[in-house]
Amino acid sequence: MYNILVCDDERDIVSALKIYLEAEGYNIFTAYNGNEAVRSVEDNEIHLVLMDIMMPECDGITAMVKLREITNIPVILLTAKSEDTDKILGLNVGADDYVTKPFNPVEVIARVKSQLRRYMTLGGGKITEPENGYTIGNIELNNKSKQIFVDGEEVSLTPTEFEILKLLMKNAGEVLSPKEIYKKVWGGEALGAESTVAVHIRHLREKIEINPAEPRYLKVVWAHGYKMEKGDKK
Amino acid sequence: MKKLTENLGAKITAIILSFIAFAAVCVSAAAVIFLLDSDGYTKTRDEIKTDIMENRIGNGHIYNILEVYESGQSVENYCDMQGIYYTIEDYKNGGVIENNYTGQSFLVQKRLLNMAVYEERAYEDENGDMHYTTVERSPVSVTVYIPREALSGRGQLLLNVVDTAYTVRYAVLVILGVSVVMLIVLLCYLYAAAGHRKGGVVALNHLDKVPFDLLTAAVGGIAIISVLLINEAAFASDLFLIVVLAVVLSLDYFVALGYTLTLATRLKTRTLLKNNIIYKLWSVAAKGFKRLFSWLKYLFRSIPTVAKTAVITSAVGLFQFIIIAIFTYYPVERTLLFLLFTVADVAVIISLAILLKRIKEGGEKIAAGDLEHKIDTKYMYGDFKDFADSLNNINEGLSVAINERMKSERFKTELITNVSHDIKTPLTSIINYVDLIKKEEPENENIKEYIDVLDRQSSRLKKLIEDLMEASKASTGNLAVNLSVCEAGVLLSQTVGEFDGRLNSAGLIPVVNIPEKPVKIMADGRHLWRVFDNLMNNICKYSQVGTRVYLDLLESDGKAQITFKNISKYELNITGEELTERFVRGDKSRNTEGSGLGLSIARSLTELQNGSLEIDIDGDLFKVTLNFDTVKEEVKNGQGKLREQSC
Repeated sequence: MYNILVCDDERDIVSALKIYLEAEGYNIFTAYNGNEAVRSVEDNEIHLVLMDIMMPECDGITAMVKLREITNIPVILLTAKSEDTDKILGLNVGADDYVTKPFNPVEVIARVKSQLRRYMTLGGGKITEPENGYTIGNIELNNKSKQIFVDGEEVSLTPTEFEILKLLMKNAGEVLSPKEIYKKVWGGEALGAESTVAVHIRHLREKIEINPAEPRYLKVVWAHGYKMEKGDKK
Repeated sequence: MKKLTENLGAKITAIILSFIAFAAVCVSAAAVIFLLDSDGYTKTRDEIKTDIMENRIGNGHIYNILEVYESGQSVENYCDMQGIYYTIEDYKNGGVIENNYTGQSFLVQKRLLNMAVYEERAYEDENGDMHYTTVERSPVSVTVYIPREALSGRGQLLLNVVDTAYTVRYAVLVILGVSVVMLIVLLCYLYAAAGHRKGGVVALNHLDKVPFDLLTAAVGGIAIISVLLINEAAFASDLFLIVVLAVVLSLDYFVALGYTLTLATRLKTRTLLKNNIIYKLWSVAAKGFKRLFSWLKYLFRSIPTVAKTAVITSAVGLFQFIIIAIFTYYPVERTLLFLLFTVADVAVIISLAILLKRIKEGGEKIAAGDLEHKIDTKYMYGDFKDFADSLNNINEGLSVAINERMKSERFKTELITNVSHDIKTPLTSIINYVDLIKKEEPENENIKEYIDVLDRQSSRLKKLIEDLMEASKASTGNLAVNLSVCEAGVLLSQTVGEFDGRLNSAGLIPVVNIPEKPVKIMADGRHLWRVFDNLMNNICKYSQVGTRVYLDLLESDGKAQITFKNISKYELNITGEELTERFVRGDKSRNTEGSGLGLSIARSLTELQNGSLEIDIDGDLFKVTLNFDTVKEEVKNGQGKLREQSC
């Protein structure tokens, strides 16, 4: 049983998250500002922190810095700011993920599960040998068994989707244009069939991403192509 | 009339006729002048003849007779040989001395009175030398009567001409009048028709393309040669003169006609001035001067103020000094004193130039937007200091005004951001608890229905707040825009792929038209995707089920045009312009989902990327057109930049 600390100055939001997460079988600790959160992590064995950024007394960013001095547990930031700069700031001070308010509870749970699995079971940074497949973040591709695991759970892909994912994971960090993808996966020239590639990638994102509109791994580089993130910077 | 001016045959006929008329004018005018000169319209035929002959013949015969008479030879023999008659009378006493005139018919009578007669006598003196002396005899009067037969061939011809001219003396007047009128009419026609070609155009022929000044010089040369030729021919025989006159005048007529015709064409086509060697030379020279001048100007500008002043004032001072040293007789001390003054002047002017330069540079910095810049007034005095101070004051005023303005802009966007942030927190609770209630089993069936309303409306509120923030940022330009080379075709196919599912479920059939050749534009991929996303969302929401959606990308003349066309589900009683205003939707009832900000955001974002968005509504056809400039050259480092722009 994992212990999760939920911290937000808005008590209603804390209660709501507590209800959702307890329903998933997690043990919930609560805090209402940054200082309380740090104290709670010091006193209890906490496996994951869900924390708001805008809080009185001690805000999320300050608390984040303090937390990283004492522990390495995953932290997901909750933020009402959807500015890119806020996200980047949060990730730079050591957060593992972020969710923007108003959030979808299902998405929050998915992200919590993903982070916990990564932290508790994978231990991070394990790289599968290229002949067997590829691993990027929480996505595992096994080339022999033609299986895909996202956060440890198997996801069923069509053969085309599998090929596209394999191509992108092989060339992680590189932008591939729809034409190139078509050429390598289907063989031959695209001749106006580029949107077929886009349709498949959309489906692929729906299968492997928690929020397909804000993908963590399979990113759309608008007006150029698609790319797979190169794994974690940490 | 139009037809006639374009008819080549009519023109040639007119030229020939005009030449005939010209010849008639020449001949008849010559005749009329001749007749007027010899009083042909007031005297009788014989009087004219006598007058003419009297003028022509002169007193040659009389002097010859007198000479013969003095020498003592036979006057009668001489006159018989000449075919003329004579009478010699004693001037003082009267009475005929000798004659052979006895009333024969004659044409002209010439008489001279009181003619002195001298006789040369020779005598021998006492030494045996011969001496000659002239003795004056009593004077005589000599009369000669010249009959028609005695005239030379030329005189006979002249008489015939006079006869003919006199006979037609009234006819030539008529001929002159008629031929003059005819010539004028024909010339008017020719000038009017000059240059006109079939089809109503005025065109230039080969002659019209010759430079006009060259042509004028040639015509002038021909005129001079003509005059010289006629002058020469005037000393030759009459027939030769007439032939030369006829040939030269005919040729001259055609030369003059050609010259005036091309003048007319040039005036019509306004090429008279331009098609000149002098004009061309001048324009070339003017261009050269202009370039030289602008080069000098450029040179002058690129030299710094102080150096410029130093060079000019030193040059002027040196020049003055040299003039004074060379051309005046001042003693050496005074010349040196003058040199000292000049050096002092130059020093003062240069120091002023340094101050001016400092103010000028300060002004330029302020103009370029550096509002923090202060002009250093440390070593300034008088007017310069005042000027620099007022420039500094302007600067302060400006930066205060701009700061105020920026503050209020920032305040506005911050207000919207903060308010929507504050709304988001309670909204999160509402959404979450609505979701939690949905999971409970309600006792009353109505509650389920009410919860659905709450769920729907809270999602709508969420969307509205997000759109409001985005619209506020996009319309104030408070948004980072990283323009890079983007492929519009790739984005369009990506968009179609993203919306594939939604289009299917809305019962819409996409028809995509993307050219094979990549269309490259400068845009920010993420913002452009937001534009496409908004437009496609609208299409999915408001299109009639079962219709086609046309998405086209076109490139022409350096412009990329992307069009989105769909058939509206609802009647659109609104203009395209109104639709991009904030909070305006196609249906005025505002019952459907959406914030009414989508098109406004799309337009603001497009304009932030230097594109344009236009909406056309034609019945139920809803058409959005995006225009961007295409990128011509391949940007090499474009690919490297793109990586950071994934979303």
